[in-house]
Amino acid sequence: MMNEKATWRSTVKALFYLLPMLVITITFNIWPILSSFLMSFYTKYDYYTDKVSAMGLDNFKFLFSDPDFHLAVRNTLIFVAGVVPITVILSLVIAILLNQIKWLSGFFRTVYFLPFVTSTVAIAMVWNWIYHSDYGLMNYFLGLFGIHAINWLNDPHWSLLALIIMTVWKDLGFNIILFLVGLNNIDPGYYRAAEIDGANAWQRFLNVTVPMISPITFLVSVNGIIGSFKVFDQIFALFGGTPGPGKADLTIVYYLYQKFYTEYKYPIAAASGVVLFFLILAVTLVQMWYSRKHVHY
Amino acid sequence: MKVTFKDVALSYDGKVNTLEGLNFEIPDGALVSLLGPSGGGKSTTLNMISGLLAPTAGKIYFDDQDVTKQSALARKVGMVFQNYALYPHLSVLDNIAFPLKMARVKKAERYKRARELATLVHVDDQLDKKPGDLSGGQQQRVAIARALAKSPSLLLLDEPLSNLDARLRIEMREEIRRIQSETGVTTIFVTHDQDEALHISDHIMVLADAHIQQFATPHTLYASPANEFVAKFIGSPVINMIKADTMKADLAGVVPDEILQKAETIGIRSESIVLHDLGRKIVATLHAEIGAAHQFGREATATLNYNGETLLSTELSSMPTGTKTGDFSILATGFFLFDHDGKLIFGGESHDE
Amino acid sequence: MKKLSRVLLYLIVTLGALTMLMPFLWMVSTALKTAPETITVPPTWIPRSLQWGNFIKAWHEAPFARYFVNSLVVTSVTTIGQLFTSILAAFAFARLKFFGKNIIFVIFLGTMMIPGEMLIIPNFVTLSHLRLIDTYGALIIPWLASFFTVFTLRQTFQSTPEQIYYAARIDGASDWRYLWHVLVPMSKSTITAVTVLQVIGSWNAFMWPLIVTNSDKMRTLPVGLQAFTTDAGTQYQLLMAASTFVIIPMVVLYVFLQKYIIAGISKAGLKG
Repeated sequence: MMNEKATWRSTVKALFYLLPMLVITITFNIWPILSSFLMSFYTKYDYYTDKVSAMGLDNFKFLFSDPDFHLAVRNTLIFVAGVVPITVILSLVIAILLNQIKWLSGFFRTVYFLPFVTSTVAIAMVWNWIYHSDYGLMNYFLGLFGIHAINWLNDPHWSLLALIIMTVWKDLGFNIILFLVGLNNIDPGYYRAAEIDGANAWQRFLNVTVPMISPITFLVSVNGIIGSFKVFDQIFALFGGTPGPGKADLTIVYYLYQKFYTEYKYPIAAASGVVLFFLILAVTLVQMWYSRKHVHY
Repeated sequence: MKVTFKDVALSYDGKVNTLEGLNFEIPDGALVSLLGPSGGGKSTTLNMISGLLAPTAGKIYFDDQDVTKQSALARKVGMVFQNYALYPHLSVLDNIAFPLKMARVKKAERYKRARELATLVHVDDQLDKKPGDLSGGQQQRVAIARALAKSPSLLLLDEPLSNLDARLRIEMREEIRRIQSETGVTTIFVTHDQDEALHISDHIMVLADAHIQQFATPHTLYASPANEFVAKFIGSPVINMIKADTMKADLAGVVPDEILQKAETIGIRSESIVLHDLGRKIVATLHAEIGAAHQFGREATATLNYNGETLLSTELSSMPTGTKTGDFSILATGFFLFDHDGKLIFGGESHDE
Repeated sequence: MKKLSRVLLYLIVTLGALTMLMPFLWMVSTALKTAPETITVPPTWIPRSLQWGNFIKAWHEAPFARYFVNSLVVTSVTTIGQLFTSILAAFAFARLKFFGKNIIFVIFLGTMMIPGEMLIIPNFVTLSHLRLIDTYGALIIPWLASFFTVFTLRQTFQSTPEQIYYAARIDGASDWRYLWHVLVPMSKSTITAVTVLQVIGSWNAFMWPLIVTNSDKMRTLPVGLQAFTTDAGTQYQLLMAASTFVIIPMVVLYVFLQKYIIAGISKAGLKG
């Protein structure tokens, strides 16, 4: 009814609709959140009996003194700093170009978006082959420009770049779609008005497109940062189940995986998850603060 | 089915009453309009009848059964919404058959009935189309057919014509009248357009300021408005309203003194200001100056200046051109006196025949 | 001048498209080569003779049929299950009135900020206590609800006209029947979009199935493919053939349902 208020009866009824979702999310989302925060403080934990005999800050102390964790944070930050700006700029440029064409535009969209739907693992296999130092396509192309073969996957200097290139390639399509939506939402009236005011193509881009697309640019950047913080699948598949040559591609999530799955150090793994959470929280808070202040919706 | 409201009130926020003291009885088989300005409580009243809104106080009866606590599901009324609210994913036939499907009527039977109704409302050639492919008038017809599908004891229509253009409105209101008389279903119709209400209803309920202003036949509303609001709301052009003081001298002797003393406002219908009474009963003769005259198609209006007030008349087309002043008769029908609270104290009732 | 810039535009866009396609072309090309041809310098794009047999060979080198069935089961059950729980919950949030609605909603919105990787450890512990590790249960149950899907559907449900809800009530539809006979069919495009996105996500999921499966017979395609690399070693033609048949189903799905995927991304992506 239109003027119905919540009553115990209506609450019971709603509960019936919510129950399946609640059971699953409470067990596998809400409880684990609490549990992993708690677990990060376990200092003596027996996994088999689920017994905790001591708690404290030791796990975090361990992380802050573990050179591997330092490396993981450093690599993650480099990875984010590499992937996000390149992806944002490239996808904006491609979206603007695609927005200009009519003939075959559907086909081009399909092509650019294709990597998004493909399995990261399967496509990482392909890139693994492309990066092959002797017979790979990458070095062949570089050779055409007179550049010496690079040992992409086995040289610690290059392996992070190899990961970044592949990730940019895979993420591009998703962001192009978002930018295209944003570009389509710009009222053509603004362009006509700018044209009447005597703005040339470049001025129109700077004064209409850039400000109008700023919310999407911001959103794409934040999504990109958060997504890149969690990089794992690509590394595992590209480097055959290792964190790259000389741990050159060890990231926070990979670190978590190692501590958890191969070393059975659950509390330390949980603590690294908590660090990841706070990094992402920081980004989200910056996002909220910034969008309240600057982004013009 | 008869609908009865007893002391019904409704408040959306628990503080201000949107409607209060609602007492009325809608007779079985009638076509009743709920008329009033927006915010007057028409749709609210309709939704309380449908069961979509629960009254804050009072009782609602269908015939002798108390339905106050029943939900819309249980009341089994048919309703047509302002924007039709057809199901966009269903064909016309499936839209009409939907209430029957919900009532678990067998497929063959419900399609048979849906086809009959489609014929009744003249959309039998559109059965496979989706609502989005129909014109406004056709959607309206489908909505009516859907509302009639489960043979409801009550058909409710919430501003059903407001989204149609002028010509279609007239056509559809005749259609609603026709369908109502063919099916004999008690019909309650919400509108803010007095013309619509006057043309099709058996009874009109005028709602404003949280109250029923008057509930009567269209003729009674016009000839004998219960108060100033109804007098002003019903009739076109709008009734002339002047301060009683300006005319008291001319009324002395015609209107009993004790009534004249209480009179605050005078209402005169524009067709009651005439040049020649032709034997009809008159209440007064005024000497007035002639202002502007206008001709619209076959209608003519002229304004008169009388003691500093302006009066509009529609009956002066036979007046010789160039006339500056004259004596005008005020017919007893269409002459009303209202007291300080706007209540009718003179006129109306006695001239009803 | 105008014509020249048009040609230039298409040239750049085409070059970009070729770069995007290159890995796929290279994958298929390699998959159809003989072993010696894969390591010729310079590399050839069109194999001298098409080795279709590579696909059959790769398929039998590892239990790919089993992986395929596993992926199919996990993807379809999680997708249908998640859709069901999400539709019910989204309806409650969109139309029903109950105590604590806003609080519950805000809590769930908050959980969307939590990185899923954090949940892996406790979930693994829970499932191993339930003795579900290395079963379909572990692969499926945690994914039977997604607040993201609930959120997207709620938005769509809320944007359908309220009058239709009232019309359905008048027509005799209970909330349950209104949901399934009216609201769900009306929201078909959003539901298709979230379904397709969920199918893609589920089919390609890697970290979780990697962690909760030990035995070969429980692996999904991506995990199986990863395991296969250690066996196949440097036989790139077989690896590429295997990658191809992991990728193909989603590419086919994408080509047919492109419209919905893109609509889904635009809708979901823009809300973050």
